[in-house]
Amino acid sequence: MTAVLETRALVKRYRKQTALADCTVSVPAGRVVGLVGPNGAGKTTLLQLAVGLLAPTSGAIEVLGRRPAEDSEQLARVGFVAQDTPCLAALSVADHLRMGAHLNPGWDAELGRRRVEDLDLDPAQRAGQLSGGQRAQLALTMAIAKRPDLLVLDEPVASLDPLARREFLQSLMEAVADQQVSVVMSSHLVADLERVCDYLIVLADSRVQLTGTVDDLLAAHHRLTGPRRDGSRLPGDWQVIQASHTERQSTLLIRSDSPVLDPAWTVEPVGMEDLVLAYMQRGAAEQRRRHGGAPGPASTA
Amino acid sequence: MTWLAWRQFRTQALAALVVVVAVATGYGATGVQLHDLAKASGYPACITVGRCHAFISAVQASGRYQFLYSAGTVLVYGAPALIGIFWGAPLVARELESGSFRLLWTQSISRTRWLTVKLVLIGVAAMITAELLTLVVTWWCAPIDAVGGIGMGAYRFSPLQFGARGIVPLGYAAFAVSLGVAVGLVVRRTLPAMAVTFAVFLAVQVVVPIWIRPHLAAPVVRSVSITGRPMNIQISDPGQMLVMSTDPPLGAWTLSEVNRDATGHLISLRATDACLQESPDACTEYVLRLHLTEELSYQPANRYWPFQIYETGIFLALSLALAGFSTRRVNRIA
Repeated sequence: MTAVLETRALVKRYRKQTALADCTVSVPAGRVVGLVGPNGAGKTTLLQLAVGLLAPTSGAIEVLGRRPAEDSEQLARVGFVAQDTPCLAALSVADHLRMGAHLNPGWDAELGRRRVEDLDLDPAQRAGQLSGGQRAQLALTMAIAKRPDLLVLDEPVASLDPLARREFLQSLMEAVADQQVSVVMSSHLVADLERVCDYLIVLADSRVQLTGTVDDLLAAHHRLTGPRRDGSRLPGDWQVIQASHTERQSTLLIRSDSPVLDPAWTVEPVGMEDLVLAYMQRGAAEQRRRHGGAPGPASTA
Repeated sequence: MTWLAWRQFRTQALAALVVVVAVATGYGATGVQLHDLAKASGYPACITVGRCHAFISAVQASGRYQFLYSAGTVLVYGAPALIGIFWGAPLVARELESGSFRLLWTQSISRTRWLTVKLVLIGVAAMITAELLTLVVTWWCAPIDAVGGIGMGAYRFSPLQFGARGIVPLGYAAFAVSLGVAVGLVVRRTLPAMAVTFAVFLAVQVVVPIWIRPHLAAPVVRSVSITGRPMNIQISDPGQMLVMSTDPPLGAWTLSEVNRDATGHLISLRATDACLQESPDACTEYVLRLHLTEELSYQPANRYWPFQIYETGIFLALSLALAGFSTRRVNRIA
């Protein structure tokens, strides 16, 4: 399988602030990838680098084997729904479809028309007057009807109410099933990603903390409860992600590819939300350590 | 891309059309009357003999003609400025501010093409709009310009009139659009971009006639010894005076008038009691004793069109340079 998104030691710095540090990931094709992390972790930066709206400070990034936004052919292969799903406020829904048809050689007019119909959008309505949910759906329609090989979505549901969010994700999944498009989608709401993603990238503290298929990751992580034990007295192939101790008892979240056989431990599976939170906490702890104990600066991605 | 550029611009284009039609109608109707009035007063034959006083007085007697004459100049200067502010500055700034550039620049079209199509469409529309307004105003003002304005020596070559006649406003309009777009790309917010565009455009409109235009060609210098009457003695406020015995050539743009003394040195004449209090004859006698030379530096009337072409060329070149800057910038912005 070829990679839809591949980065090597990718760095993006704004004047003094590092938005993305030493990011190396390889995302296989045919996946729905969830990019998750706290606010300011670098999610938006990574996605904008992938669609060519940002240029890297250093390192390399390839999307579908080529430099992002290198030419119109490359632009045609990637569909993008930006954060807050911007549209042209003065243009109507129908105008947006017409714009898509004029600016994209692979435009699927039938698909666009049908989606607008199914979504009950009024073609004559100006995009500026749409609700947040409708605007997000219009932006998704624009990205899908382009018939891209890769769909990049940046927090598309962040500002939507739960119902609109569910509808949006549902229509995204329908499109994925119909078109065999790869998807990279960011969110800080793990529950949303849990519903649709089969591949996970956890970004925290401007760094990649975790990457892999959801199945593999869930199989490799375990929550252990047992008598209190020191970190030094644990098997060497265990990677402790999170540990909490009471006087008598230790609770660990570990990564281990081999099964835990020691009967002293009670072994439980780990849910996706807990897994993500554990890695995000680890990232936050690293950040605090680097900044000399002070909480990290509020940063925007 | 042409479709989108037109779709986003058509309302403004319609507004421009309405303005042009309104101006053409208003100035067309009154212009016919003005030209009739000129003809009835002996125009254009009166120009060569320098006796168009009947026409000048008739215009001076009409508040409406005086208003339309001034308003025409204001209109032609204002149009490129407004075009720069309302068409140029928001062109990219609006998309950057609203975030819609993230939608536009991820369509299957390069940013260079996106910007080029918009710049060409709106630039050409701006040039056409400004030039149509200028043609109407130039035609309307022609008899007044030919007789040197309404008694103030304002020919079409005079600094203020020059920029509102002929073809230069077309260059201003192209420049205003390019300037607005470039400023919008740097400032990235619509309202500040509009304000900065206006300020820069205004500054250029002041700098060019004062410091650039006079040097587009070496001025003609005419020296005449002052030997007798008739004499024109101008006394300025701090007690200085300037003595001229001849008028500047018809329709020329006077750059400077100075006096030199008998040895050829520049002289700043103090107004003496002979000129301030005594009779004109006493003053004339006093001036003649000084053996003065008058020196007039000017651009002759037949340089009007070459100057129009030079200045239009300069502004079109500036527009292209700014467009080049914007194209580089739009590809680097993120």
